[in-house]
Amino acid sequence: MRPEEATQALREVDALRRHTLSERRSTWFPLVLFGVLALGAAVACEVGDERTVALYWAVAGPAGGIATGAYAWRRSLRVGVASSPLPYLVTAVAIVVGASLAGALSTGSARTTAPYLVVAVGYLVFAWLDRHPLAAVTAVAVLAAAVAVVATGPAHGCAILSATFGLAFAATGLALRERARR
Amino acid sequence: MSDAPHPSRRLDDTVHQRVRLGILAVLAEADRADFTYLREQLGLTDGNLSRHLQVLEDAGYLRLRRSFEGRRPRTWVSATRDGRAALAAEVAALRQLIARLDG
Repeated sequence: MRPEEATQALREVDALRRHTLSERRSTWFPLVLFGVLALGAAVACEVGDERTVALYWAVAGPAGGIATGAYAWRRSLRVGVASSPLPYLVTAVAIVVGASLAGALSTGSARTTAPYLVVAVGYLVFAWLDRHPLAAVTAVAVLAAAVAVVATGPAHGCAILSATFGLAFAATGLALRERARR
Repeated sequence: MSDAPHPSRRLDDTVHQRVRLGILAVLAEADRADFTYLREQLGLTDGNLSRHLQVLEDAGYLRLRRSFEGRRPRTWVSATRDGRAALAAEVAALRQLIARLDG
């Protein structure tokens, strides 16, 4: 085999893998959806107390997860390529359990802000599963914001963090969608 | 002179064929892909793709699952663990071959 044939074969393998990866992932949808939900949580933080926020996420979290699963399933049927749902499901369950524990085991304002640490780490795992550098950068940025807010405990920390997550996720999701459409 | 076998001897004839390498490359990034998707990505006819899928299935590198969506039949294809390992070995052998020939 000549070196140029081997190089060409490897190029074709890489191109097919990259194209399939971009077709099978639907990273933008959960980012936009949970971005909007986090913006709703910012409102809940301001108009209610920590129980209002916990109730909000108890309803919005699973509903968002089910909507994301349904979107990914329908998309896989339309496009004809699918990823295994198991790693995503395990990560989602870990986020729910971890965020609930983080809230329950924290005190003061951290009861509503500490769960965001878990959510940010969970999104980093999602970005790794999708091998999406931009989503990973967003996850690291919101993780840094969560660490800063939990460490300093500013007034309106819950609303600040919810709005930060909401805007970062929604903006990243819309940017990814726009890039995928081009 | 090295006693190591020449990298070209590690190329697997089943996987090395261009279309079959492409099929495994697509399936390396997905849990499953359907027949139509593979046909369009690789620019093949139904018959040509079927023949290559059969070779890979016989080698234990693929699993085919036929289902119906409404009345429409659909064939989903996924790589087995052996199939993924065979692709990884093929890519490693190709890289070694290039490095050896370039060096």
